[in-house]
Amino acid sequence: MSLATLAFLLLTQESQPAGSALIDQQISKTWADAVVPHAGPSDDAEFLRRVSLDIVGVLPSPDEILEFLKDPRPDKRAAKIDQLLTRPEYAHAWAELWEDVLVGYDQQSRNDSNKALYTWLRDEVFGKNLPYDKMVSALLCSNGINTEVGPVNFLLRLTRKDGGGGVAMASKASKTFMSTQIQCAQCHDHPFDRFTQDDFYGMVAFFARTKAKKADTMDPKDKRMELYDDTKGEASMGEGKAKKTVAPRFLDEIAPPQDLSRRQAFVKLMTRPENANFARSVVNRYWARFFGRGIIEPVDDFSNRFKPSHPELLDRLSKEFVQQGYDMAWLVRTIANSRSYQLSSRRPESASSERFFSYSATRPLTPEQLYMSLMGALGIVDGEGVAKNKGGLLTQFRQRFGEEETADRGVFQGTITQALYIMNGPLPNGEIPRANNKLDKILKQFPAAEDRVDRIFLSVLCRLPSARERATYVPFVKTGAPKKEKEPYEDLYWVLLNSSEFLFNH
Amino acid sequence: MAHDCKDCEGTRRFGLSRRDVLRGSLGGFLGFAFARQTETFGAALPELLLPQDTTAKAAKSVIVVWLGGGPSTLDLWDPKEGRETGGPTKAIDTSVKGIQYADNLPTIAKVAEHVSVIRSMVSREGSHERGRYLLHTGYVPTGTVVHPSMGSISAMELGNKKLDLPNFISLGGSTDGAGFLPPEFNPFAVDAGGGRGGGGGGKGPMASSDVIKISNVSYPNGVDKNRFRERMKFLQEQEADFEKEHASEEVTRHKTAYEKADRLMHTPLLEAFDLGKEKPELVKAYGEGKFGRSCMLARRLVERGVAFIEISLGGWDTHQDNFNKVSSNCKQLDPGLGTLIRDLQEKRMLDKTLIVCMGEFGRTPKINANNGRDHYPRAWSMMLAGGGIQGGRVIGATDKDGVEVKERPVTVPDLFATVYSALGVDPKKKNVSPLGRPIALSDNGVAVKELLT
Repeated sequence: MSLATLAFLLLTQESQPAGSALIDQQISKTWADAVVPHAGPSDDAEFLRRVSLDIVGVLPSPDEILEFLKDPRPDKRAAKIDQLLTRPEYAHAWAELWEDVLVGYDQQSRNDSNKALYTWLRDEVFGKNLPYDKMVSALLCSNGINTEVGPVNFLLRLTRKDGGGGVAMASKASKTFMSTQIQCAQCHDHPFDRFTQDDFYGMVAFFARTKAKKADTMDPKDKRMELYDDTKGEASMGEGKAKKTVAPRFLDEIAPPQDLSRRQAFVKLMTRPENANFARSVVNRYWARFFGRGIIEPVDDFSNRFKPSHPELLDRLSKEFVQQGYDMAWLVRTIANSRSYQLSSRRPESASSERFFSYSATRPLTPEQLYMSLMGALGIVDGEGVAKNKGGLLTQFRQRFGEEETADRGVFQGTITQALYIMNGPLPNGEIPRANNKLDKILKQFPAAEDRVDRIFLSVLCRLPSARERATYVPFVKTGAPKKEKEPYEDLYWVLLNSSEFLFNH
Repeated sequence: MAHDCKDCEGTRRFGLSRRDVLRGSLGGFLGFAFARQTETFGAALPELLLPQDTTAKAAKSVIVVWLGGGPSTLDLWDPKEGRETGGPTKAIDTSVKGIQYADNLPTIAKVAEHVSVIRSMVSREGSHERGRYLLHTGYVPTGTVVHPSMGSISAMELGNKKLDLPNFISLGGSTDGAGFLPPEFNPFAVDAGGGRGGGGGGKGPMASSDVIKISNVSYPNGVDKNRFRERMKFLQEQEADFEKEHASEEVTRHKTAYEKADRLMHTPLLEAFDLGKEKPELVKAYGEGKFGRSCMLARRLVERGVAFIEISLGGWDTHQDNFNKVSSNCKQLDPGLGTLIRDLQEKRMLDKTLIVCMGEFGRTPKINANNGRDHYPRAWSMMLAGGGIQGGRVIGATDKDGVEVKERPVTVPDLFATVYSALGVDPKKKNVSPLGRPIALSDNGVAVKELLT
């Protein structure tokens, strides 16, 4: 073990939660084994920007940054993490993230169904820290009308997909909550897993009676849909004479309890502690959100094709997550308090693959993070700090910067269209020179060029300028022609908004 | 034995590729590093490439005319005059003896010697979303991989990397993109108002309804060239600082995208978008609407070396009032596409330009109670013309009512194999997906050789 790695472990303070210490011990072990150089700890500004984007999806404000930099408490990072978890943006950001995972977003982003799902996730799940197993149970077992019962919208849109009869529901539920791609076994026994076609249709049978109908109200114009359990419906496989009905049977050959509805039985079997993939799946997904890649990658396929980089860590962290009562806020706190998460993104020389988590990955912002960052940097937020969705701008962002398949990750794809949008497009560029905008307020509040430059850096990049940057920009901002005094400041704003440092999480 | 499960990306039966073996032998983290490097770039497999000189005069550019919604091809390429399923649509003679099109296509009928029609397309995807994916990528959608579209593959295979214009431009609608290929092969969308309700969120000042606008290529208000250059110089310094300690694929992509955006903003080739220099009678022949303008623009882009252009013309989902709607759509389609073929021929560019006209499926021969036709993937037609393709031919046939394919069924993978062959690209060539699976350009399709030779 190198001295640096030893120092990394010794730094692991007593104040650190047990789960976080587990992470650091397991992560640094692989560095030692493979002789991997790792980055040093992040500085406070770097940490604060990253943890804010990851937990609440927004940038910290200049005042918040300065206060944090000044704060002498040794445990100020842990305190910040706790504070972020109580902010309303936490529930908002994670509700959006799960909405993307559960139903994706289409061109008409956020229709009524998605809105009900989002609101439920925000207010009932993340607002109240509902345990994860309870969230999944509600998503899979609820019945009712789409606008009234938020969680039904997860299954509702799947009832008729892929020929109906439960195929899409069983496949999506297995993929989302167990990272198990059973649909490969639909047409042949699974090539990369142990499942057979029988297993597949056994899973489908749990959803064979889950159906959708028009909401049963008196109003003929009522177009709302209702999810319900039919009394009939079976899964069947084969064709013609070979056709046979398949009874519900969970993957590892367990027949369901008889006293529950089929979907309730599914949830009961899925959430058994022996079914380790249930907890591993969500822990891995959270890990990927915080580290830029999962311990198993891709996050929704745990077949034997893809080996975990840190199998013991994933297993132990998942068991601890179950011990903690599937507490999602605990999981966030545990990951964010680890030294590993708090490493610098300054990549050590000759650093090898990201798989070692030996530095913080530079990763694209999600469309939501980018949108909120622009809104924050430009000061277009309301009193609560929540951006107003100006004329469907977020929808545009999701179209330009988003992609359903990787909804829970960043997706600045680096296309010309995206670059042109920030360079010349209306959102940043209409706002940068607007009268009485955030820049004007900065100029009014701070008479000295040095302070103004500091403030612009804090607003956009969430840090103070380096010596090089001060030496470049302080003289530059003073070059504005009479009556055009604001122009060089606008230029600086533009430069920082277009930089990788702004467009990525790191 | 071919393996045809479309829902899991891979197959046990491919056997190991040389690359799999190579990766396996490296083992450990070195093996991983190698895998990651090639996987994320969706790199082609040079060792698997066996370039086949399929045709002497391969096309250099492709123009796809996309009829979104699923066109009623019985009222375009395969008329059934006199049958109940034919409706009021008449058949008219074309410039090729013995071949008739529907009377909706008088202009195209005059250039039929350059046009070939496949009347025996068969597929199984009857939903817009899946059909659209299939006809853009040649693959049925799966849960595990996003396939690259024909446009992205063409941009990769034919595109000139030094060109200041994007090599894949979509006019009038969003389209499928690079999938697992590098993002540089994504389409560059230009709002030409083609999709239903407008493709790009453009509420912009498009007073003249025929202007085709390329968004965000001019400086923001109040910024001139000097200010822009100064901004870009500062930006480069910021990037250099950041890249020192954050070198990564993402940061490189950022740099590349900004360089290309800068070049695009300032290239004289942007005059391609200025249709003002074209002869008024030619503009009129293409048609006054946006579709006609887009066809003319496509020719101008091909002249400047763009590899792939998709023009979107929506409004074909004719569950109601099929015949009036198709006839009305054809008032744009026929002069636009017909004039494009003639114009390219007169400018001696048709040999180098492949034109493809299709939608996501056909429509039912049975006319429904609303005088409409519903989705019908079982038997339908599409059109090819120009480079690499023999003109004046009809491939396959449906029965007298258009219900079933009667001879020479052609699948979508076969169509893609035909297109790639016409471009001089081996349809069996494989790209590697992010999960390390080699995926062929065409999904086991066999090119329609009657069209190639």
